Amino acid sequence: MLTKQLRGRDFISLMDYSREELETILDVSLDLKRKLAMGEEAELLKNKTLAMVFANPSTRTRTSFEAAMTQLGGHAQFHTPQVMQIAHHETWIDTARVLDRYVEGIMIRMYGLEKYGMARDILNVMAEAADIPVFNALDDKEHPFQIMADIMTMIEKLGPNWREKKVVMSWAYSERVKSAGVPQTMAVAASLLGMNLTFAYPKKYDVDPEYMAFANKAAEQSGAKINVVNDVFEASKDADVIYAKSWGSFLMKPEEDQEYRKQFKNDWCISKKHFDLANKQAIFMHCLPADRNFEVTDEIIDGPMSVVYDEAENRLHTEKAILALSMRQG
Amino acid sequence: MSWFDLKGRSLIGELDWTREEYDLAMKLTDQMKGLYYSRSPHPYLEYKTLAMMFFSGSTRTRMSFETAMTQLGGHSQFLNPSTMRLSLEDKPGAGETVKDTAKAMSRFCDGIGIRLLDDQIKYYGHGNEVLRKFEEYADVPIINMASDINHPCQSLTDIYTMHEKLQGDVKGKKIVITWAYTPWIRGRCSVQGTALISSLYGMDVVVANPPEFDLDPNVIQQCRDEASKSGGSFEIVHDMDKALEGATVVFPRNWFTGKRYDIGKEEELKLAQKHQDWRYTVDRQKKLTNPGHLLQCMPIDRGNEADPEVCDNDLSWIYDQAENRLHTQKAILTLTMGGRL
Repeated sequence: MLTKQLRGRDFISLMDYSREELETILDVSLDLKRKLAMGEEAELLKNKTLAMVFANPSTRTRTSFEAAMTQLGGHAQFHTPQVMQIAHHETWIDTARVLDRYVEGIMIRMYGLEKYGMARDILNVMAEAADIPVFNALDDKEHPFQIMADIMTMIEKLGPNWREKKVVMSWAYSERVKSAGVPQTMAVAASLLGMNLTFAYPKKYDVDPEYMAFANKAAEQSGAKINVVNDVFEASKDADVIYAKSWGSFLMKPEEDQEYRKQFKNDWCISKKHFDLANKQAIFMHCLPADRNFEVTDEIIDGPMSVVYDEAENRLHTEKAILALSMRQG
Repeated sequence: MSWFDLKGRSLIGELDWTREEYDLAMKLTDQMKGLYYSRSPHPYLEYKTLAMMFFSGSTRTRMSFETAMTQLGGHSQFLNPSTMRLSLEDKPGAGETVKDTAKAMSRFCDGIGIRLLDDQIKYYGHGNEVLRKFEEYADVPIINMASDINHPCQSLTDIYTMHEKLQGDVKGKKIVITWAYTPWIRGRCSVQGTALISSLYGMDVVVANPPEFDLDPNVIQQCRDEASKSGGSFEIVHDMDKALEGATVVFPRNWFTGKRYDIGKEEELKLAQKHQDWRYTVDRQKKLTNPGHLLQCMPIDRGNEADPEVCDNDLSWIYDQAENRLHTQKAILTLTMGGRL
């Protein structure tokens, strides 16, 4: 790939990226992590500004992006649509065009609008209106920054053969109906990178078929294995990673989903029962915030198999890599 | 680690640090103030981040901390917890736990400041419990930016200001921390913090209040203990004029009763209204044999807690005191988030 081809690129969907580009991002992430550990400066975005637009709440994304820009020598601005002129009906296009004149990148978090896909449409419209890169910090379809941090964590934890290790992305119980951005993005990343991914979810919790179709097609080229299993215990067998995440069904309305899911409360809370079936060195992953004792028991998330806080830390390093690769000039 | 190495240490209650540790912080504060007025760069916390979680509103604390981090070459994040995933209710389905929030934030930030008091808590002591929980789980220092019980950054500022103004000679000087009327139902952290640190430094501390407005008995006991160790004194008086006799420093401030979270704000107001004569007036100040300097953490209710003239005359220290927040906090941040060579 052309060395400079990540400059100015939007980071909205992993489907727009190639295996080689994702691997470059991961390399840079690991390098920036080493630099931070050594106390080396990494002023790659000195005096540059990232505008962060948060339509939805955030802990990790906010604090990590803002710290990332500080560590890169630049600055991040925190905005909410409620206090921006968007609340006064300025269009997203005008907002993007104006931000384009002040800052070097726009990060957006937006999901849960009236209809699935609406947030993605807004991100695309903004990306088209602005020349500067637009970064997707979780929309209704994908959570690409989270997945890059997840893959980085797997590389660190699973060793050189990480691509062959059995990664189980398991649906988990929660009272609330949440976005399927994480599993959908994981399908894309795993299929591009040639990983061994097993989806575990109860019947009717299929994700957006667009993502499965992409994954199956990309897998043909990369040699990735993408499986779907409807029994969480069967999926847990010989797993090297169990990644718990609750998500809403693509096939049901949220009210219907909320009733339907109750029957899965016991089996689909990741616990010792699941880890007894997994490989001895298996790790537990979760993107956080965890719905403790619904999605996962305290015993597991606080246990030696849990890598959730290392995984959270890697948000910082992968974000720094993506921001630096994309917002840097010259 | 040397006994006075404060790297990685939290500051939640005044007594988390010893007298010697505060002495060190005050030495550094002197230097910070000198650097500030000589326009000398001092980027001791370059590339570092302080996360500031403001559950409760603020003017001075927000601005002084944010400016402090800018001047130290780092950055502060202003976080409104209502825009976060966190819930203080520790039960499934409520939101992210304090533990997970603290652990994850520790991976991005080098320090976490928290302000939690007044209407954002459910009972007296709740704010401190949350801060202690953050301390338990975080891997970076937790700095109390005002809680229901303590306000150590303000307290250090107060003792620093008194040292400055009294030429370093605070021991044996009389400070009167007096309850004063205002319809604002105010927290106890600043007054309790000042009482604690003044006791730690051997001042003659008098707390004056109407009987039903006694401070937290635990804090009172701590003050008595510290006063006996430091050679100072601590006394509670239920008569304002009697208390003020011989005062070098006066801190007039409203605070709520121990029943605030049981009886609610309306009942609290009724109790306060019985004592509208409790104000630091010009007449009261003029009658004093010693100066009766005004020390007040602000915001001050002019015309209630103190007469406007008392806020504005030459005996008032309040703006110099407010400025010192910046200098002392820069020292606290540098010591806890930076540390020794």
